[in-house]
Amino acid sequence: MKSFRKHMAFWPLSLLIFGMLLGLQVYLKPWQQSEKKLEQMRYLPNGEYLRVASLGYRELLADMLWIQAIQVMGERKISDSSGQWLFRALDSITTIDPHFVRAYEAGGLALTTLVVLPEESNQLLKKGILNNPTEWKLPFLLGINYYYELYDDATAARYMVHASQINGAPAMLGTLAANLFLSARSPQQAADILAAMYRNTTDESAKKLLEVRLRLVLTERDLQSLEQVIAQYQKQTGHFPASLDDLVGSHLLTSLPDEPSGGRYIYEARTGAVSSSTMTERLTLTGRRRGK
Amino acid sequence: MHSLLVVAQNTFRETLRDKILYNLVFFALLLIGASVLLGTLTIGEQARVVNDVGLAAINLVGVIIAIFVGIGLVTKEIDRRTIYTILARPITRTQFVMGKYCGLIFIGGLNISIMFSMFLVTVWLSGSTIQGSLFQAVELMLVEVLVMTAIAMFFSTFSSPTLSAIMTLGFYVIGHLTGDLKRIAEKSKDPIAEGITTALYYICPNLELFNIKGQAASGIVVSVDYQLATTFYGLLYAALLLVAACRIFERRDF
Repeated sequence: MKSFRKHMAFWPLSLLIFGMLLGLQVYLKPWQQSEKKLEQMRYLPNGEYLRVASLGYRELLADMLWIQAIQVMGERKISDSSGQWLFRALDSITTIDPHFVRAYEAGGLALTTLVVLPEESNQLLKKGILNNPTEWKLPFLLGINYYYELYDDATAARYMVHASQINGAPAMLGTLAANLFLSARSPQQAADILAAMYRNTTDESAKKLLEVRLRLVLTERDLQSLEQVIAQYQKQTGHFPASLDDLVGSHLLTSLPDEPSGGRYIYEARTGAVSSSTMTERLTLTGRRRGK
Repeated sequence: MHSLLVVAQNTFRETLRDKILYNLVFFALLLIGASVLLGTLTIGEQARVVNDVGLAAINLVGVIIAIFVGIGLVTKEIDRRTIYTILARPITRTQFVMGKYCGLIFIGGLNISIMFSMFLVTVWLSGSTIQGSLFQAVELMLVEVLVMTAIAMFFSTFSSPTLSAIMTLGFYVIGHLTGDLKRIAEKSKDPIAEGITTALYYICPNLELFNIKGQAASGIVVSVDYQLATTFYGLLYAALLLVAACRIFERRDF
């Protein structure tokens, strides 16, 4: 009888304690939610310490932090200061596990799309390239950042070349790098890339397309150098040359270049503009950039 | 040899009856199952998360079993005074220690095998491919468990279970930190600190050598040479500790 009474008392008491626990949980919830997930990351120790403290469970720790970081990325609005915490979290994750390629990729993108922190994004991507030299997407994304965010086409082109040279990279990256070099007014480098691609391609149709593109790039290179010499001539004499032959006569050019597609260069003496008879439009990059 | 096997068999049976063992296996299976759920929370890295969580669970549970069962095996016999009846039989003390060790590594091996099988099923169910690198990682985990069991046995031959647990855990922590400590000391350029950490680096077991979970989860296969050399290193270290454990136990009075 005594044990039955004891048994009977156990359940109401347990239910009462459980009910109180639930109540306390509900009561404490607002405190827990008052701080945004991202701001909680400020308590995150330096990645170097975390890596050492993980005692061989680095990847597991990096995964857990990565899942946390993803939840943050899903938040509607992220301020620049919150973005800094996101960068810190991503930096810690990639310090704990330097081969976490997805964290570099998604993190690099998030830092320029959810917030505008291109320098931090670049820092993360450069770290990724250093630790994962066989991943073409990292230099590709870095190139995009330099083009879209920092308007530095020459650096963007260099990273595109880097990406295009890694196994598994799409062939279009070489053409993209050439276009970026053109946009950076380095047509010779663009021509060199296309020439190398032409040499390494065995597909005949691709070879034909590259040949056409290469001729256009060489024409663009000639046009840009002619424009430079015309500008120099005008600086020296105070007026535009009457014809392109005047450039040779004034020893600014040794000879006039041949038009690579078999056409000719047309010169407008009144405006100093130079064009090609085979090229309807000048080669330029027409992609959008942030703020432009 | 027969006596050794009898002790090993008894240890195996005794540990199987230990309820903590089942709890730990249950915990590992739960964790592996949870890895699938965690995998759905991430973007595009489900396979990696499943592999990381699964391998970490197997490793952690294997080491916990090795430490917490290993430290009590000898002292339990002394506390229960069953050691007298055992040693009164034609069993040498070395055979007793070695038998205990063998019984425990059978248990460790069985546990790791069960957990690994469940893990492979989880990987298969989650739609990922089962990589050969996972087998390599688990083999080295098993070697790590052999070393940890030897450390636990070594301490349990001359100290109390609590002290043995603290010292074995200490070895586990240092074993995973020696490489980092050495790097930090090299940076400090203090010859004394460098000397101490270099000594620790060579004296303590370098457990980081057995940690290839990261490569395994990404499908990177380590070279056979590395695998063999690391396994040999682990076996040699365990042998050294067991020789010392047997020597200490031979001289011990009850």
